Amino acid sequence: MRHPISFQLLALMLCACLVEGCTTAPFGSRPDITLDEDEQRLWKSVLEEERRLDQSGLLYTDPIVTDYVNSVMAKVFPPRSGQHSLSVEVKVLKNPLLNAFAFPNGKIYVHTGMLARIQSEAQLATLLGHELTHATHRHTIQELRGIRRTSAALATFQVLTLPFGVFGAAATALGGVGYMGAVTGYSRGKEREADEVGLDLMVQAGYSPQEASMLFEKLKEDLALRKIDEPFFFGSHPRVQERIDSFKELVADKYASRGGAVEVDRYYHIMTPLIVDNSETDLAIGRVALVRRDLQQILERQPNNARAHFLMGEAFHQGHDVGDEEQAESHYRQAIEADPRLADPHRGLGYSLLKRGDRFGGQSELRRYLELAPQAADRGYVEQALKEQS
Amino acid sequence: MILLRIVAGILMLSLGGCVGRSAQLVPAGSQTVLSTDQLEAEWPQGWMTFRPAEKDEEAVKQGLLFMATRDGFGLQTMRLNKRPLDGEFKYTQKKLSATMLPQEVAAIFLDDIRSHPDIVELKIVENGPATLAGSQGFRANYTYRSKSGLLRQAVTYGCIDKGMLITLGFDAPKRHYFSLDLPTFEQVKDTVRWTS
Repeated sequence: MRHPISFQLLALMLCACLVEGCTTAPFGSRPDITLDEDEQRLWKSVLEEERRLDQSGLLYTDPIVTDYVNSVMAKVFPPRSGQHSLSVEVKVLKNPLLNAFAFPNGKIYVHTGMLARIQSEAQLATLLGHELTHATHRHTIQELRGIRRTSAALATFQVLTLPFGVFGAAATALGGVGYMGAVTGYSRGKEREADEVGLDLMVQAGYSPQEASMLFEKLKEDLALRKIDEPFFFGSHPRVQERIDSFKELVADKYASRGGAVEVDRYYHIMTPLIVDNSETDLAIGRVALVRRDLQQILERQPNNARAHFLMGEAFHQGHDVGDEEQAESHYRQAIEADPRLADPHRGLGYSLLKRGDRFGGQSELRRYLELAPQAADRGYVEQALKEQS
Repeated sequence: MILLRIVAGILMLSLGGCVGRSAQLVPAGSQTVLSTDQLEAEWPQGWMTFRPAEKDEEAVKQGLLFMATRDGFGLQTMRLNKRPLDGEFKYTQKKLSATMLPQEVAAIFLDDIRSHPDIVELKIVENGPATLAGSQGFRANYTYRSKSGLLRQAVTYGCIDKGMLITLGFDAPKRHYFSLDLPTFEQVKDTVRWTS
């Protein structure tokens, strides 16, 4: 009783902490969790952001891929009816940048660029577990409650998407909530919590925890190859290094000798078409070194993948090093051998042969290209080349 | 009518204020031949032309010389651009060189559009040889869906000459407006010429 005011204050603070703890208890931890008014508003605004993304034409809709990523999510977070109000679903966005983010209602978006970097199902489970934890542990509303005026904060996030230049323009598709999850990330403590809980979830699902940090090691390698950081959370070197350190520490503490499923073959078997599609986009952007490395990995597993050989040929054709043109020609030939009816490699090979003076061979390949693709948009150039050589 | 002129005047002043002192929005019918230090073109009568300010960094980077429209830039836009070969594209990291064939130049031009994060469903309708300002170049005809979901169609002529990439583009909603103004655009294309 010597310090009654201090005691009262302490009691008040304790109550406040308990109340705060109750209002942001993780979904699934208690059956009676309801959304406060501000969280309801947040979810409502998320629906609008979600609608905009879903109607943007940027969704990668291959059902084999979307079913697969959702089946992995179902292992990581089995549906527990009545324990949470989240409608967990994973969607894939056609975008070559490194990015994945969760909305507070359980919708998770992963970029094709991120899926192309992942090398096993266990790594995918790590990423999904991390993102899901942001939703189950209500990180968005907690973060926003730390900011005085939520609406002003969201508006600021939207404005901030603008000055990222070339690659950052992709962030303009996101609203304020998506921006927080995808670009800025959450506080260090919340990201650490997402690592820890996400890791537990993937281990409980039977995956090897040893794969967790490998995903981020791979992202780090990629950032070195890209030479610049990207605007999104997973494209930032310091944030990726944080994840590596965090996962290494967590695994050493809790799961040092624990093994589990990795599922490399299954991952590549299902994701190969997506990785090849993503390489085509990277090729248009001009990230030739990345394309060569990704396609090399595909061709090591599927040496008869005609489309991968063709794109590899295009990647070498755009190179300026000694031997690149020969490599391009070799890949065009392998593409034709794997699928003689695929038109594009004939055009690539035709131009390559003409360039090194093989007029007969070049003409023959270009004619074959026009036979296989009579409606080709670039027919005019090919006809002109044939005319000039005759 | 007086009120309309006042509003137009305020609009022009405010546009000038936004993008720099020398931005010019020229009303319909008052001028048809627009020229810069090196290039000129005859624009259709009844169209409004826009010349960006020298301080408009984005326009300078993209080498925008003139834009023209009849009903509004969202409904039909013609653009004449001239930029140095070593300039950066907005979305692709690829570079041009003076020795490139027209189809190689066209491929990079189209890769830049393909890399645009807000453009989806890009389809190349036709991409073939053509001439612009007396130089061998390309004509690319393509459709795409804009950020707002509208299906649009565009034709761009391009060539490399005097160390510069010259492009003349026309872009409009695919339905109605594209076919309506395409013949006018083709006429403008025939008038693009070097002045020096």
